[in-house]
Amino acid sequence: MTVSLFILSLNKIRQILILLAILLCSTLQAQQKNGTEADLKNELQKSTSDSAKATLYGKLAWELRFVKTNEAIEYVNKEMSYGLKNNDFLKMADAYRTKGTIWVSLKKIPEALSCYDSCIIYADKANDKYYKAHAYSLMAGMYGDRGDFDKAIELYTTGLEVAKKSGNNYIQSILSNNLADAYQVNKRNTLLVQENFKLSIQFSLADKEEHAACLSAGNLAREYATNNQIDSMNKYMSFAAKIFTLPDKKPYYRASVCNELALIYLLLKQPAKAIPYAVTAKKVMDSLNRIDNSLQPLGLLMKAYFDLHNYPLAEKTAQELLLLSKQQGGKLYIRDAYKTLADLAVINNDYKKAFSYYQWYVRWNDSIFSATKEQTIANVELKSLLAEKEFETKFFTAQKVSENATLKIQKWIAIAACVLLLGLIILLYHQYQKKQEANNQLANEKQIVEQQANEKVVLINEIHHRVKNNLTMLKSLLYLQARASTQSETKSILTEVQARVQSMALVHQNLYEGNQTAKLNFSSFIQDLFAELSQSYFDKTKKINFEVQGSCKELDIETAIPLALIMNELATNSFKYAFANNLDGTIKVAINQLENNLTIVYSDNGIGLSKPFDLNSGGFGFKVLNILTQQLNATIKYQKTSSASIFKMSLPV
Amino acid sequence: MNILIVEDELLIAEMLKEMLLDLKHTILGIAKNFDVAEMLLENNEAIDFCFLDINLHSSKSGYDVANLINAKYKIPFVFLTSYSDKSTIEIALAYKPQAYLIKPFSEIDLFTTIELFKTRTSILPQQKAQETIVIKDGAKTIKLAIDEILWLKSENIYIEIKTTTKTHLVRNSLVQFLEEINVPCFKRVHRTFAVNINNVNAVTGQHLLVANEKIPLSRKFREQILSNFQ
Repeated sequence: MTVSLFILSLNKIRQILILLAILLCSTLQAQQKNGTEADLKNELQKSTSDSAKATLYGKLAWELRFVKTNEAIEYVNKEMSYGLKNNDFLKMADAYRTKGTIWVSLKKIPEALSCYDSCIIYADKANDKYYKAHAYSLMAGMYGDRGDFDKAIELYTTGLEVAKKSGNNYIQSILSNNLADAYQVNKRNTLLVQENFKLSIQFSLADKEEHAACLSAGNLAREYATNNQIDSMNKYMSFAAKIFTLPDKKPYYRASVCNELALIYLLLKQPAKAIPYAVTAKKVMDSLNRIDNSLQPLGLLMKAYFDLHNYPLAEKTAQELLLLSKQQGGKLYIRDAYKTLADLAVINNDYKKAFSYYQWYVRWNDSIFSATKEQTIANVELKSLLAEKEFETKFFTAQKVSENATLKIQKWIAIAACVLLLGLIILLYHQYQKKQEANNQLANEKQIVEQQANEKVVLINEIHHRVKNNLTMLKSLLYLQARASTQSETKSILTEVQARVQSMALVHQNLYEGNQTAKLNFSSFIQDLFAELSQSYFDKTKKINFEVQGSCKELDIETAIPLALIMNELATNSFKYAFANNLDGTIKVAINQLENNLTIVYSDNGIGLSKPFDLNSGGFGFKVLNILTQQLNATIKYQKTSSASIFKMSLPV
Repeated sequence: MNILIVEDELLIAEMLKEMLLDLKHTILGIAKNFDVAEMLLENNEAIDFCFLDINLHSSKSGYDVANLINAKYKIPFVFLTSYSDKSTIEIALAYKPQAYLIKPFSEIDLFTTIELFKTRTSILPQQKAQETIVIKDGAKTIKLAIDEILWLKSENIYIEIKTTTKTHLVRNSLVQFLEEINVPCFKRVHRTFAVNINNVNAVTGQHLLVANEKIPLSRKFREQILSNFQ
């Protein structure tokens, strides 16, 4: 498993932690409210004053917001009507916050956002910073989940400013932690990440929430670990480890700290130390019956076993991760599991299996790529949806105003009413035009998104184009210098180098023309290569024939380039030395693929090598040959018969 | 020929220049961008052939130079580019270039391209005299416009005649058929292929590109071209 892949999966881990923080925050809220559904309903029956009832409605709605959405909406509406009647802005803010979370759980995003907006407005009227900050935090979380980190960071920052004014340690710790999180996921300014985690620790401690402080410390330690600031990392790691001495009340925090520590040890390349933490985290998460939270420790465990070269356990863990993540639809984990399984199969020399796992890996990796694309599309759609909503609101307000006006004027003169009606028609027409505009804008945005989807393809084309252009420049340099040089040896060296560059360019040419799959048809490529070589630098009075037999599956660029250069060296050798005396040479290439093993037999009917074949001695061409066969994990053998000299090469593909 | 090179990578232009000098052509100028190209075209009436790089890394591209040439100077030109995808080639062909030369090109690609152009020019008078041929596809007798014929391919005892819209089958051998119809723009380029050289779009490695299909080029044919130049 590569490091970059691993860092990618960190993003997912961060997202889970954000969810976790929200979840924790809601548990805490529930604790503050002191009571379960039954208790609250009991209390509701006993209470007599409207105000107390409204408070209880609010608490009930918050309690039920994820489990019984319909009932929750009923309660929240009751709370709202009390708030409206009595101008109790705090209740209104509370009700809108609850309603927002209900919409979120029903995936009605624009509705949720407008509820949070209203929550902020009423919190302002009530001059309550706690609700205002919390609404900002919830909104930011929604944007963060959709991948719009710019907006999320902006909202968290505003929320934190509000929270600071509230003086409430709890809300300050939540907002600074979330802000740090958003910066960290997005790999922004590390100083801001550190500063905000530190703030969060400070507030959590002031709030006597030592568990939360330990978790922030764990996050902070990992930030230091990624930046290689070992002293600071150690300091905060031991801070985070304090959680094990605290009363075991909050298993989520404990498991999350374990995850962080396991992650840090993996980053430090000490997998043995990571294992106990990952195991503990897994146990705790399992006991909480939240399988989706178990994926992360399992992934860490798999990586740790793999890094320790404990392949049987790594495979077992990978299979378990694959099974669980498929149940949970955890794309990143499915991908990572396939990657590890493919790597393990390579270690076991089971290339067939490795290939099939690798194909699955690529498929999931691509689907994650398109998921990111979808997220961007969803963002744009959301924005246009919001624009449409805003327009509708304006439209209705405008209509109401004009209706009122019409009623008044009817008392006066009928003609004026006609004029107004005319005005209304003009207004409607104007609005209609506006709506058309909005539609056009929507269409434009859709087009932009489609364009972005094409970008990937265009980029690939552009890269091939640039590579070829640069190779052409290189070739020009060599061509010009070869002509400018007077010594024949220099000339021939430069011509040889030119041929190598041309061979590489030819690989790109063939990859580029062959659809978008970036694969090379080797047998047709080799024909092009020989045709190209034969005219680039050998005596044109000689007649050299080429024969290519057999075929193999398409090759990727990592194999194709070295193989092209090997063929180039062999052909150069034939042109330069083998046919020194006879005029009619024949070069034959036989390609044969058996499962994952590719055999290439290159032969010419020339005079053969003068010395015994040894890749480690001999000229520069053989040195290149030696390096490239090693690069491909290939073996090469030389054999000389009375009529031909034969190079037999075998390599895994 | 008197040649103008429009190419923003001067190293590549220099290589092209030396290759063309070897072929006894005269280089009247190298233009790095549209403005210089325009100036050189305006002040050199002697220019009779151009090589145009498509991507000039400025607001005006080789396409703009092609437009200018087509509108004002009517000089034959070849596009020079490292884009070889079908869509780019299709766009480029709309500007009616003589051919499309794909980077990195070799000397023989260049020779073949110029030879192609020369042959086209030399057969132009004969071509005007004859615009159609008559073939027997099965029992039917059909008249085909020569312009629309892309290539002829020998298939056992038949010849496939590929046009821009259809494929016809004629019972004959390629050699005999070419002799019978005697159309100068059909050139045999391979054991099994003859192409209409007026429809060749590009020369790449050992292929000719005709209507986005690769037609193989035999070594014999290439050597024939080489011998013309040496």
